[in-house]
Amino acid sequence: MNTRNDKQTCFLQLIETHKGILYKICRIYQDKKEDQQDLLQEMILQLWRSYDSFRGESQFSSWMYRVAFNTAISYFRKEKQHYTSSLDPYHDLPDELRTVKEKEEQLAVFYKAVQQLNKVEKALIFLYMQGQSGDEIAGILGISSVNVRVRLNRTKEKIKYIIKTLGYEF
Amino acid sequence: MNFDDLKNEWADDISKDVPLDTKKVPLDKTRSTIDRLKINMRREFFGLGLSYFFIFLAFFILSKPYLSFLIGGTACLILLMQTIYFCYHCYIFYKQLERSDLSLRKNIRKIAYDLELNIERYKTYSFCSMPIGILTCVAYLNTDRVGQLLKQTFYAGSIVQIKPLLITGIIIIFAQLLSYYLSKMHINWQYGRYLRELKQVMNDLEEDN
Repeated sequence: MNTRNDKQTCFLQLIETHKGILYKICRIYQDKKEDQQDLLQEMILQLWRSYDSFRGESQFSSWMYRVAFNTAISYFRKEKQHYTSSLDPYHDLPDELRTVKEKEEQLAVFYKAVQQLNKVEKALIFLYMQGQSGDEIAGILGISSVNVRVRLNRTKEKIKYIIKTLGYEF
Repeated sequence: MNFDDLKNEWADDISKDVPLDTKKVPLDKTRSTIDRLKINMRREFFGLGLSYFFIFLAFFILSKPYLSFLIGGTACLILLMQTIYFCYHCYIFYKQLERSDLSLRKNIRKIAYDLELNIERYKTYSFCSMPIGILTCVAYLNTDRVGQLLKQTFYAGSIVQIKPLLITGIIIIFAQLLSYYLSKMHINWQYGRYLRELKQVMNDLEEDN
């Protein structure tokens, strides 16, 4: 019983340390607050269920990325937004977005642009923003480093284009 | 705006208001594809159990003549063996769905492959159980009154009538095909959409240059 409690305490401490990263993944994959909250709960649950497979051989964050992305990508959503080139520059941007500080606004625009990407591109751009190397990204996604480089460039170009169509300079 | 600026802002963005209670592990039901699959599988398993309960109940209540008992009993036993085989493989798939610490590509490929295999197994099971179901029904119907009716329909004196026999054959084949088509629709609706979603991710992960 004690061992189980210790394990749970240890797990929850790790989650407390990394919850900001998990929440960022949720913001990348879901645009509505309640969906982000649900996905976050789901990730914690899947991390807990898989916790026995974490043996400390790799960093906790690398293992966590794998489980979190597998969860986020297999998370069912009824409607999937598709990328279109005919976006209205201020299409359904929240009002408060226009009044917040420039920094926060830029990040909010970035999150909005990322919503237009497919699930794999979202994972790629997240890991890139987290400062993961090409090899690390390749290991997490299970594709080659060359492929990571090619796809990342393509995804960055796509984001640039979307941000421009939203009416911002890039 | 550029990516370097965004990366700096991203690093500075330490979400202070993460809506998460880290005092306990959440144990609520979730909405992930995997969990929905599992919920569907559990529901179908209980549905299957319930339908077999009624099949066996009807068998013991209705089939009194010895021949009916033999035919019905054999059909039920074959049906039971097929069901055990099907449920066993479903259970293995169900348990394997827990693992999610593989790389994204491996994990999605494995789930999609296993899911597709199980969908095909389910379709085959539905297709094979239908004739046995018909055989069980025939055994149930083996009463004097039904026997008399069949005799009137299929025989003219001691000669077998081809026309009613052909019509019955066509009805049975049609029932088989219809039930297969309906079960295929049901399986695609229950599991196919998840497979399509996983395959979409697999396509997105395909190596291209």
